[in-house]
Amino acid sequence: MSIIEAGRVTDLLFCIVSFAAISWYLWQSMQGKEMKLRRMEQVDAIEDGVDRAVEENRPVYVEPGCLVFLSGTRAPICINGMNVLRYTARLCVRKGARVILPVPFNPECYPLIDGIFREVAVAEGKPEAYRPEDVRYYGNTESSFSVGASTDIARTSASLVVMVGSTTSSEIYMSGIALSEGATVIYGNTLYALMGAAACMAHYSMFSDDVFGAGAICSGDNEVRSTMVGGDLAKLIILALVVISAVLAAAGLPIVSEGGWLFQ
Amino acid sequence: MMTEQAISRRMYQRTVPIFLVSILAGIFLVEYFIAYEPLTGLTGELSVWGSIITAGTVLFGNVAVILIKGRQLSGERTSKETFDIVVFLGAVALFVILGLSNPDTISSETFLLLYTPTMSMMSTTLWTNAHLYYVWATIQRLVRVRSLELFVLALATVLLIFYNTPVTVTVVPQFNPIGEWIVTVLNKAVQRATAACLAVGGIVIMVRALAGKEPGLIEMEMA
Repeated sequence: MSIIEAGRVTDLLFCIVSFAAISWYLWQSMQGKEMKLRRMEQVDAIEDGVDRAVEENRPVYVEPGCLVFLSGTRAPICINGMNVLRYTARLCVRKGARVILPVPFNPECYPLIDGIFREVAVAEGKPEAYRPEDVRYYGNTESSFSVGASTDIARTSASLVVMVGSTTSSEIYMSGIALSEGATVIYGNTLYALMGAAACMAHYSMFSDDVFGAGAICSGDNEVRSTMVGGDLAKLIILALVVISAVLAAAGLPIVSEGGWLFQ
Repeated sequence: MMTEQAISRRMYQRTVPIFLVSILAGIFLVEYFIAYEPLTGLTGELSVWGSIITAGTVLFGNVAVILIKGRQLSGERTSKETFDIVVFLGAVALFVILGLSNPDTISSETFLLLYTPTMSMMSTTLWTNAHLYYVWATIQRLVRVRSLELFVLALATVLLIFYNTPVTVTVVPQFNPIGEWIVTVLNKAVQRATAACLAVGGIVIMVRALAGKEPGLIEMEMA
């Protein structure tokens, strides 16, 4: 009898390879090696949008998606959204734009968002820029969040709306309102379901890995960037595995069939 | 240079929790891969405690909302903001009193009578209108084909609408295999690629968090 749970050998190998690749690049960056990620026009657009907001004297909205949870599978997406939120809020405070932070309907991240805003204001030497009333909670249902935030965007005539993280269709409604107000809309989601709608409803959209990449770029931290480089290596290995499996399966070997090599 | 107090704070706010989380994450990983009965019992117990802690974070969030709204009352605000805060705090007070005034708490008839119809009616109405707007606004922008990508997206949308509409499939049966192919081949491929990226991204964030390199968390207390 195998010591490994049946059907989880491939999972284990994938987990070990990913951990090893990410940890290796993280270790290299901690030794001083510079890690580079490609420029993302979506991230550049955040800075341009903040500049425009300052010129127009209109507010910037930024939120990490309305379906935010600090535990479970959504937690990594949420934390990543917080990176983009921190970056945008920092730029706003630095350049003098008003930033408004809609809080997701699950209020467990309210203290986190509030804390990031306060920290950014203090770190930029402008503690007076922290306005607790601009961290806005709209209630504990998704409908109240989407309608409340959309109404605020329309009422205050937003100049830039950044929604990156654990977003849902609620952010698509907000995009529609923001577009009608002439705002620049940046939307990011790691799930496939809303990609089509987001491609239509945002000036700059990020899908899947783009969101993680944007979070790493926004951090401005070499060690954070290095983990994305390690993650890319893991993905290349997965891609190679897919191609090899397809070829071997086409050759008649029991690769992807039930109980095949990949499902041991 | 960190002060002694900041180092002490870093120890109990970051180093110790990360150490504990690392051990717990290790237990769950080993339990997932190794067939060993006592570990299954242990992770079951830990999951219960995980749920308790999660409930605690939700409670913390709710308390924070009430405190922040209460604090806003004392600051400078417009009459509209005052109205919003008063309505919010009033609703909280009303439902707390309702919940605590009956031994059945939130299952009591009075609580349900006030909560369920108002919340479900408002929520459904808001949601339906928002969804209607979502579909309309998206299609309105989709038909303004501005690029090759949007043309492909629009084409796929139209084909899938025909595939999901019984009358078009009846009149033109060819829409059925085309729709099936889009859903089972193209869509599935994208789903799997997305799932792979999400899995790797999750591990990336996890490694960063465990290594104390994740900037998406509050750092101010340790500065």
